[in-house]
Amino acid sequence: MNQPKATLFRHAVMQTLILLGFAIYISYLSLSGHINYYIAPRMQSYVELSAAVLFLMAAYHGYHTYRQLRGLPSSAHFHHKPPRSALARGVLNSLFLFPVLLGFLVPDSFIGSALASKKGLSLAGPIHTRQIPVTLSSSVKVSGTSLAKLFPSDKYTGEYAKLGMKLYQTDHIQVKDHGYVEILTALQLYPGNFGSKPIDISGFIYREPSMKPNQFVIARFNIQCCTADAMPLGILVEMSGGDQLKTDSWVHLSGKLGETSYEGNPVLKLDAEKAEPITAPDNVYVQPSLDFSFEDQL
Amino acid sequence: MNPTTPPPRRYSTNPGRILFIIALLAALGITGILLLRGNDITSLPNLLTNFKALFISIILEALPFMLLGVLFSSILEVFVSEATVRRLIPNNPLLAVLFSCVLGFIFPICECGLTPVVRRLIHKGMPLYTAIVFILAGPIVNPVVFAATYMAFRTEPHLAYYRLLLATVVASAIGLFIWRVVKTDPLRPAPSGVSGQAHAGSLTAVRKLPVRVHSGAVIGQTSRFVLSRVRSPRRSVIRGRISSSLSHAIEEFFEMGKYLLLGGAITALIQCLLSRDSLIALGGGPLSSHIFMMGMAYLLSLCSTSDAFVASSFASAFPAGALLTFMIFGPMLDLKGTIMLLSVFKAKFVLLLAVLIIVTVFIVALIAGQTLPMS
Repeated sequence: MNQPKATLFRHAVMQTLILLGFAIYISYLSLSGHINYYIAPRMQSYVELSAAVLFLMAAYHGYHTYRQLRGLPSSAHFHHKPPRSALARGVLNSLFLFPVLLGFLVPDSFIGSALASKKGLSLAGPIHTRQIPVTLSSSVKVSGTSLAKLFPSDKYTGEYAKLGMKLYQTDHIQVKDHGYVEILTALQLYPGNFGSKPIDISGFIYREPSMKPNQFVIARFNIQCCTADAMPLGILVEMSGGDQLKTDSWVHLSGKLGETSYEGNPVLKLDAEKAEPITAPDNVYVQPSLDFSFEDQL
Repeated sequence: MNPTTPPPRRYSTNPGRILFIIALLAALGITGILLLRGNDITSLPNLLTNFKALFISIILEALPFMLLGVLFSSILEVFVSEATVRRLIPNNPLLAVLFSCVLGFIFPICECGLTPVVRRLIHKGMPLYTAIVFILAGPIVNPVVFAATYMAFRTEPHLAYYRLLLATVVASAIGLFIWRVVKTDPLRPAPSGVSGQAHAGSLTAVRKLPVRVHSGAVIGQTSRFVLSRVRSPRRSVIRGRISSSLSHAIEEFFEMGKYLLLGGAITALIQCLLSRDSLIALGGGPLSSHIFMMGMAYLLSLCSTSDAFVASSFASAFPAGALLTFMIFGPMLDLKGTIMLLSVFKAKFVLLLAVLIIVTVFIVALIAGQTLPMS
């Protein structure tokens, strides 16, 4: 136990620096806006608050380490004994320094098509609702009109059917960040209903090996808290000259909706007429709008 | 920094723990090699960026909860006495188990924040079985997670109720099993900063050796001891206590942090390499879908507040029963959590707990899938 005082203090100084490193990295992410690459907006303030706590802890730890180093009275008593071997101390400190160094040395980037293929992007049908065989009789109850027949629903898909009807009645579907998840779900639930409906949508380009050269997917990631729970969603696009667009580049597409089959399933498709390269939006991921409040802006 | 006490040597050289970690690393290594075979080696720079995006994200996401956990745990340590903790917990084991199930409503936090709190509570005299119930049920049976699940399954809200109900059943069953069966002390020897050591006051504060009673409860007279040492007005006592809480929080941050970092790194790596589609093909049958969902929940190590949304993304591929398995199993046992549990318990006990969770969740989910109306 009689570790040299110098070792103890070196360890304490290291811990102060680690706390400070975490706090500075989070502050940097927050100021640069790169925090959007890692954390969903609703969680960001909590992460920023942790940075404040870490600053406080670093200041406290540093102050008392300094006082104890100088032999001044200090109310803090740190019991934490560093590991006895220099190697173990090195490994422990490296473990904590690793995320900080990774943070500063590897450029911040948002996730794209490489992870989309790992997580699996479903083009065929809704990802958020269970696919339950829909019988037309259940749809009659909704209103009995021909529109309701086009958008059959049961109690599980009712919200999306209503949204689908609304989208059907708009002249031009503008897909924005807010409502992205719900609109795509509603469109994909009824892929045959939106023939030649004009649409505008932005996203990154994702490709699968089995796609034709003129095919790609316009996609976004939907995240709840962090990128670990990210789920990609997107629409299959067909465009002449589409092979010129680079995978992972961001584009704004204008075109018309339609239906095609992909890997044996009927899927929604977008016949793109115009592709405009854009920079990735600041809020690079989308979040579900659980209250469907975007509907008023359609 | 106390030269008079012998070092607690055995906890750095516990052979069981080392064996467990070696086995875990070996298993992960083999999985890693298998996974890498399906990946393009030339995309290594890509792998690094993706790893960073996931790893930093997982750590940042867990950080507020872990900080809240260590701060709360430190406040418990300094301001709440052992007697209070023991008085609050009912003597009747059945009542105690039910009490622990609903503790999550008072402290709604996911497993990253719960681990330090539970560790502290055990050292403060909370019986082991109630602590286990709290650590299992807490991340599920709480209002935040219920709301998230309800929203994720807005078209099937009954799944949110089932999740709470079944988690309570599983946690209680495991708690009662442990109450009956486990009589030995499964705790890792008290690490620094946990009860039994004096703090505040001068650098050479006298250390009280921990007195172990019952299944691993450690009684140290810390709080009262601090009070008696500080001969100053009330304000200064409170200042001393706040300062003491902060020291504890910092120590615990490093104590828990290493497990979180390790767990987060492995989870991020697996997510970078593992293709979900190739896995989904494995989990087709009615039984295998449950097993697959457990494996998935284990490897993804999601926070219990967000896992319901991921579960809902599997809705088209899996029956509701398997989704429930995913949402009950994940918060109780996952990769990140296993590593964090090793900070509190001996490896053998973590293994026992893992087996108990796997078996109980499997049985309960199967029975529920057969008996509860799922649509």
